[in-house]
Amino acid sequence: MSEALPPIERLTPGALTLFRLEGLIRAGLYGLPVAGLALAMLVAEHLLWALLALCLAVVLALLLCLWYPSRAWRSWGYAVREHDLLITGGVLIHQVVSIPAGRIQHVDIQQGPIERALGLARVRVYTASGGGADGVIPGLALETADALRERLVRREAEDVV
Amino acid sequence: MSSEATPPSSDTPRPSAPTEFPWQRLHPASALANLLPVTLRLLRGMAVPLVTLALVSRKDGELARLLVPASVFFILSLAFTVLHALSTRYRLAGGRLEIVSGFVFRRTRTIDVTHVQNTEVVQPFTHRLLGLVQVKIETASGLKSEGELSALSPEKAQELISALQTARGAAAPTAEAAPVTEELIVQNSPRDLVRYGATATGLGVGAVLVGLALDEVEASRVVFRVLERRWEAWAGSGVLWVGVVVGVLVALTLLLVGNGVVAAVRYHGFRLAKAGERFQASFGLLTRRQVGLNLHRIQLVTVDEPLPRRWLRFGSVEVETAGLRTGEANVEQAEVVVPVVAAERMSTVVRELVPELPGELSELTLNPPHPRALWRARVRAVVSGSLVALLLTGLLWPWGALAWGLLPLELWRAWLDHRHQGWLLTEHLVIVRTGFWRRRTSVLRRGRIQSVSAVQGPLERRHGLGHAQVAVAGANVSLPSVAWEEALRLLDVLSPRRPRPSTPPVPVAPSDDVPQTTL
Repeated sequence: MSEALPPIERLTPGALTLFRLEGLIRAGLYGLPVAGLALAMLVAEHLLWALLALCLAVVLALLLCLWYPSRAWRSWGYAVREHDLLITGGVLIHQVVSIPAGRIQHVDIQQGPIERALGLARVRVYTASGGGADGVIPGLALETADALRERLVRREAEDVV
Repeated sequence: MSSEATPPSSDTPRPSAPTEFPWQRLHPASALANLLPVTLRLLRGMAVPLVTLALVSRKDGELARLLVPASVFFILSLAFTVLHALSTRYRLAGGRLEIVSGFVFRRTRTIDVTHVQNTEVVQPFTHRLLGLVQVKIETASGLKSEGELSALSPEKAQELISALQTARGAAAPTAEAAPVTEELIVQNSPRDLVRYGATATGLGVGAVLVGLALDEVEASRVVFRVLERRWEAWAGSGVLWVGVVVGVLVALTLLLVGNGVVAAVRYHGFRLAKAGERFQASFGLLTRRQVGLNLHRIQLVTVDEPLPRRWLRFGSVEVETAGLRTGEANVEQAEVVVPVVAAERMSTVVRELVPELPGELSELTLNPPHPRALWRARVRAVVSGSLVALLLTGLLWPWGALAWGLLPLELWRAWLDHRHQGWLLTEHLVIVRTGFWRRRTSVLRRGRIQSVSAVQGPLERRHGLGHAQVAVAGANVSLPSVAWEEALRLLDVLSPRRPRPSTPPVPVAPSDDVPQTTL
């Protein structure tokens, strides 16, 4: 991998839907106060400020629902190599993580309500580093997540010292 | 870890324990066993706000209205506890323990039995009333237990533990070690410790504290209100400014002396000794502590040498291990600090802790960061310096505007830091040096690396740079910025590769880089 990354498994299109729905929820959480501010300005007859706040809310919503999810979807990926699991991800801060097979302590599969409705799951890979999951792969099809977990746990069991 | 344990005989495995069993649920009374502790915890958390509300509410209905959301939160928390207990199930199959829990957010946790470090049977008060126990299963992934089953009957708990032990084929503890002679590595006098404490807080932090204190005084106008009548005369004669300067100097002196005293009390009588492959540190005036370290458990050694310590010809050494363990006689903690090591003995002491160190620390030829990384450092310096200057300008106008004049100094600091960074890979070690004002040299064993990341922030991406980040148990070390291709190459080089054994490994041998506790 000195020259470039190996072939990376990308996420399914369903993951993009998941990221957009999550973005929509975030936009609601962050955008509502801004929209409230716009309304307050409108009531107080500060039309210019109301318009600015409204524009801010729209830009925020567009960023969180359209720009960020598609960038995140393109950046996430993983590759199971002979000696390690490679995970790429991140929009603003791009990160490539290598988790050696023999270091994996355990693997979690998580499904929130949206993920379950879409048939998706999130894989979390833990080592002994102690700072939470060392690697997270969101938006995998449940079967893929199960298969990946089986593969990682089996490799780990084979490789364990 | 809970100390109220009256565990059933978990240390002795049953010879006929099964290595697998199908899905099992918690004890039917588990929800009840967990309800009381959760209720007490919630009430304890809500007591202060509720009492405050009761005291400040002026109308009868006011408190009642505020109690509604608190009650909803209370009921939801209790319902969550019950649902969690009802939904949790576990099984042991294929050499793995699987724990499934949650109705809305379902979590499936899979733990390979070969990675189980410790199991603990705990019996809190409510569990004891109901004749139940908690089982905690720990791997080396963190400080919390990775699997917690609350509550099971003692028989079921014993069955699970025995099955885990049988599946793991746990070996008996090793025989008693032969007696070895103790060798003193470092001993610190009270004078050393005062020097350590006085240099522990940088001048920058001190200045910030003094600034905050002065700002507080100015804001409350306590001093100025008293001096108001004489303000004109004093300001004119310059007495006020002399007072401010003296005040700052006194505050700094108090800060240094205070740090020195705290360090002298905390590390009183510090000594680090070595017996075979085990280190023993003992220190403390009020609370005496003994910390035991095994040479093979040491993950990371960091030499901390800020400029004042370099002037005084010493540095301190921080030692990180993987875990936290308590025993009857002593405590093993994740980190030991050796407060004072003379500069000329630094490499010798570090080599005791990391025998693979190739040469004198100060004479190692380190790889420099990428030249373009200096731009990143400059941008960061300008941004952080501008924010501070902006804040000071707003708060202390017009004198606060002078802070903008410090921006060139900040750029100079960034250049010095950049110039003194470096990294080196040897066959066994990763050595990273950062900073000029606060120089820190990290030495970590490549064999202890848990994961490696190549990270690229927005500023680095602009210049085609990135940096490698190495995680060992309990700590992360970032290497200086290099070209992105180099960061990706480091990802491959640093990620430990294990030669596949020709014969199947016995699933017993625990890895020696994480704390081991037999079941």
